[in-house]
Amino acid sequence: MADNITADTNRLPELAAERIADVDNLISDDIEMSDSEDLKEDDIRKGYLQLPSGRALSLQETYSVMASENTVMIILIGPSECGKTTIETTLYQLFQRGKVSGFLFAGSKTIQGYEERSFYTRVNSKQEVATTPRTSRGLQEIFLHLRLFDENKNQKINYLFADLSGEEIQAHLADINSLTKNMPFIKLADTYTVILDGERLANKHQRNGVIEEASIMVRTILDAGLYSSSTKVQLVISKYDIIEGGNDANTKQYIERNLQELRLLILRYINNVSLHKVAAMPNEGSLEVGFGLDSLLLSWEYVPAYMQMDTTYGVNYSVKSEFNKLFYKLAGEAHE
Amino acid sequence: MKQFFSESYSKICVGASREQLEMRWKGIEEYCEREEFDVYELVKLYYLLKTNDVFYQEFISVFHDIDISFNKSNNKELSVLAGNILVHLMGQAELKLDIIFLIICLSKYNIDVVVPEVIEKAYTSFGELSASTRECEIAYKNVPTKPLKDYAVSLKDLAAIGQVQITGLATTINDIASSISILMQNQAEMKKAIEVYHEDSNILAWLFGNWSNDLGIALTQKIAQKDVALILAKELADLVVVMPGPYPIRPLLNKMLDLCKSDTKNYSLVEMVDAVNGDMKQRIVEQYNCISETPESTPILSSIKSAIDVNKPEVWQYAVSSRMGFEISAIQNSILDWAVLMYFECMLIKKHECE
Repeated sequence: MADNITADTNRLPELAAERIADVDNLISDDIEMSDSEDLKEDDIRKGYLQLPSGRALSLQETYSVMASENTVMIILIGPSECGKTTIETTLYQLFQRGKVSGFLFAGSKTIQGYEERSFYTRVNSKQEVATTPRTSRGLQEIFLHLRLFDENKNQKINYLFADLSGEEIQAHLADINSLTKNMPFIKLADTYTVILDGERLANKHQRNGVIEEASIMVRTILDAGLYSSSTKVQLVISKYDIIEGGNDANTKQYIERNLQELRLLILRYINNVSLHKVAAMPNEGSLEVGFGLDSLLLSWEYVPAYMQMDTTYGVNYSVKSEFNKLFYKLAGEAHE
Repeated sequence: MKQFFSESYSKICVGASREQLEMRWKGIEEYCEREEFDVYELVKLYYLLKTNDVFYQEFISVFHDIDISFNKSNNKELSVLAGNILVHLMGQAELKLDIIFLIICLSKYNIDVVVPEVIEKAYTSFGELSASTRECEIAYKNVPTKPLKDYAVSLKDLAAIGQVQITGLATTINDIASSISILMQNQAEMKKAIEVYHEDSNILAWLFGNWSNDLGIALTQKIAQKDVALILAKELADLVVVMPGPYPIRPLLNKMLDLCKSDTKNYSLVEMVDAVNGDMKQRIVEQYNCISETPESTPILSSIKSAIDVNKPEVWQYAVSSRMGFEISAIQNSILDWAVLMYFECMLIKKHECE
């Protein structure tokens, strides 16, 4: 396509910044990258190609991933500062050390997005308290992208991570239509990863609220029917190092019991619910960096669509022909 | 159709703009307006298999002409678009059966299509079509004879034929012509009904006989299901006279396989084909010779043919895998599933030969 473009125009298109001869515009850190949705047919005909920014992908930008390769869409749900972003970025950083659960890093369209978010939480940083800048954005650029190679299955899988804060879910609590309108991707989620803040769970005065909050968020989504037979849910206790460091048997029992109850509630809607304990950037105790992320990654397993395919072909009316009735009779089934 | 399109397209483009949706839809509509379709290639494109270059370029150009940013390397998108076109074409009587058979023939090879609903639609359509053959009342029409008798009476005492009688004669000849037409329709209906009864009785006798026609042996617990599954599927296809064949295919084949030694293991296509003896392979290929231009549409028949050429599975499986674009020995299905697929492959060839 690029060849055609240069052949048609015989010269490279002039950039806006070049036209005004403002070099500062070219090198400024504040330069605004327009979204690919602004890439119109006319622009392409003129030879203008939008280069990828490397930042988190907008909804429209996920098209280039989903239209070409197998993709798992993961939605991380949890209140602000519960550790959603830390889980995403630490996982990315773990791949800098090598394989994780048999997966190898095979690329990312959002390297800059990861780097921006990882800046404060480098795996080898010597901070006493790991911090990730609070995610501040609308719903424009929310997808982080990882492309992994599964050694066991010999296939490449794309992972798109969107993290939704409790506030974002809360904002649409009363109106399901507004939830699906403002977050259309939510109904296509392969997996919902519900994050429960381990730090708050370890606090006797806050733990009730954590479970209650998670329960409301999950039920909002499930009651709206935003799931399919293949949707998975992971209940993840983040910052588990704090709970482990507290070494309080009562706290652990409380968490275990309440999470099982929450799991049973979700099982009414969805068959695949798993529990995970994660300490992405542990500050205390003896847990390793990225504790529990390997099993979490495995739980995000790509499930091919044919696994859920229904190839039965029985008609939905009562057949009259005795020959047709053999369809049921030979199978030993009653048919009304 | 538009609803199906928007839902299926959202699987590869969640945040599609209205403009993008409209351009893709326009492409689908334009493609469907063509006079001729290569449904074999369309099904392969839907299944992400390698297609003929000419077909591929033509397909791409339809969408590229509408949207210059259309990316031909977006395989998943191409599959979604081809799937939508197939769903649309399934509505055309002359293409419906070919598409249904083609889609079903490739439905159990674990190909990761984005929109498996297209396959489900093919199975559902097959169920509806096959059941309806035996559910319809025979539509006999009455042939009115009273006007002819009245006219004959009016002519009886007539001395000479005038203008009025000539007009009456013309009307009567028209009546006779339409009566013949009705009789012909009745005859066609009756022929179809007889063919259905003939098919029913043959299949029931085959089922009751506990016997393999081609092998010439009784089916007993000493016979391995794997050795006879493909042959029994071919025998059932032999007995079909009225397309698309009987509704209870799976239970019929299951009943016959149940006569043999039970086997609940899954097998690969290589193992299934290797289990068929050499003479039977030859016989199957003579009767159901897979279409040489598109052997990928009939993997079982194509494998049997390759196995005749080189009777070493370790050799022919590579040729077939390379042609198909996936490792055939890695895909395992139940014996009954292979039998059902074999039946549909035979029906596809039978349908093709009938045309």
